[in-house]
Amino acid sequence: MERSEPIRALGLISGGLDSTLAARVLMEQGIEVLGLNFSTGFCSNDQRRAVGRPGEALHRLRNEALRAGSDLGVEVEIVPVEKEYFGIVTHPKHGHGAHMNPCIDCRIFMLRKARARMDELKAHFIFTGEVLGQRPMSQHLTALQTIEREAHLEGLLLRPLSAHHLPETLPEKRGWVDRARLLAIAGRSRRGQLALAETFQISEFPQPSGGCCSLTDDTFSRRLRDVLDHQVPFEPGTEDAVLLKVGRHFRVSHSVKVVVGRDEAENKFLRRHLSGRWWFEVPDGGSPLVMAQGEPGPDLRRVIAGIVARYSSKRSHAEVEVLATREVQVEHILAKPSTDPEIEAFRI
Amino acid sequence: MKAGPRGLLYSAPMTGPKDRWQEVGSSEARPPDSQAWIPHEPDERLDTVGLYCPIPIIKTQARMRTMEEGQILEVLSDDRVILLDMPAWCRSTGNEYLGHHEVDGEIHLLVRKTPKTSPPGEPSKVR
Repeated sequence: MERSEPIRALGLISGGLDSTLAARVLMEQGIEVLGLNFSTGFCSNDQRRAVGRPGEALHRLRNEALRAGSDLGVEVEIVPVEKEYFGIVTHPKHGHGAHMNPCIDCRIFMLRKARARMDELKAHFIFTGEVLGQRPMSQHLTALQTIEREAHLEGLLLRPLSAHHLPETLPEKRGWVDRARLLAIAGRSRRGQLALAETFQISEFPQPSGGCCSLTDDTFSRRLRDVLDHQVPFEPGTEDAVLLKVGRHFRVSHSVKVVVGRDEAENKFLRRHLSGRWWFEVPDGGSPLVMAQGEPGPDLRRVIAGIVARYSSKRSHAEVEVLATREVQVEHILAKPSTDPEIEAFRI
Repeated sequence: MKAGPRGLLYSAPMTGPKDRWQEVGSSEARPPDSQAWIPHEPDERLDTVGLYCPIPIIKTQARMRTMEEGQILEVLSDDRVILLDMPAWCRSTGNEYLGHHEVDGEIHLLVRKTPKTSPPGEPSKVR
């Protein structure tokens, strides 16, 4: 295949094995590859990083898209889209998956952004690491076709790993890409990808596969839904999302929620968010830091004190002294530790 | 100054025991053994203290686009994982990672802009 100018492809690079392989397959054909990675505010790696739990291996927290770009020698641009993306999460046209994951709308959103960037970067086409049939919601044939159409990329979206199962794209028809050297991987098995990784001697990729999206997590999704149902202030792209990852969460009234730190790292993280809020702890004992979101009145503060006592080292005592503080206001509450059934009724 | 992996120049000193770097992860990201700190006078500074991935990298990316080739940016951070992400970003974009040092828990990283920073289709600034 002779070319007068280099063919340039723009890919969605998550840093996972599939997008890495897709990039590599194209690079093997002499195609110049550029990568885009979108910062949605829901990456669980980023959230774990903000909590800063000591002893967590740094390489498990690194940005995998940058690592993949570095390994491939491909420039990866990180695009912040948190605020805009939140609208997709709350009102997905194609609905949510098992949890709060709006997978089809997410792909359409990212690919529309990529389409716009493709022109700016003078790229010839877009590629992804999608594999036919790998994910139940967004990677079956109809979904792949819907995504391509609604992202306004008909004919311009190449999925190198599953290309032989899909209609020929413009890059293939025009000879920019040799279809014969693309692949026919499909289904949930990872055998094809792992074999290809071995061929390319790619050994660095995150495990397990499936990405790091918090929106596919059951607990995180329940808490996010609770935020939306109770109109809790939530600013995308801030530590509000991290707060949903941290601690145990209990809704004690329509307008008041409490977060109970589970370890020192979480207590430390919560301390950054206490300004103007009530917070609770048991003095002179092992105690979680407990933060209230909302305005608990005196009765609710006693309920919260019971929760604090339950998670303190004095949980077996009949009564526990709990300190409730907001700015310069300090109260001493004698609380009976909550029972498990009481606690479970509040748990989010 | 010694040549590090892939010919990168590291000028940061070891500020702790050698195994302190082991937690940094892959050998690609691990700075080499101790050497004297040779200061580079940065042309610009970017304070990302209190911010976590990927915001410091996004801000670095944006700032570098406004700088001229050859100029040096100093990025301040308190997120230790940036010790992996910044060198990776530099290798990905072709910029030169000059190393880091630490002052009172803050990490100071130095990056020199190279011609590849400007994406294709965007004019690069040449001093």
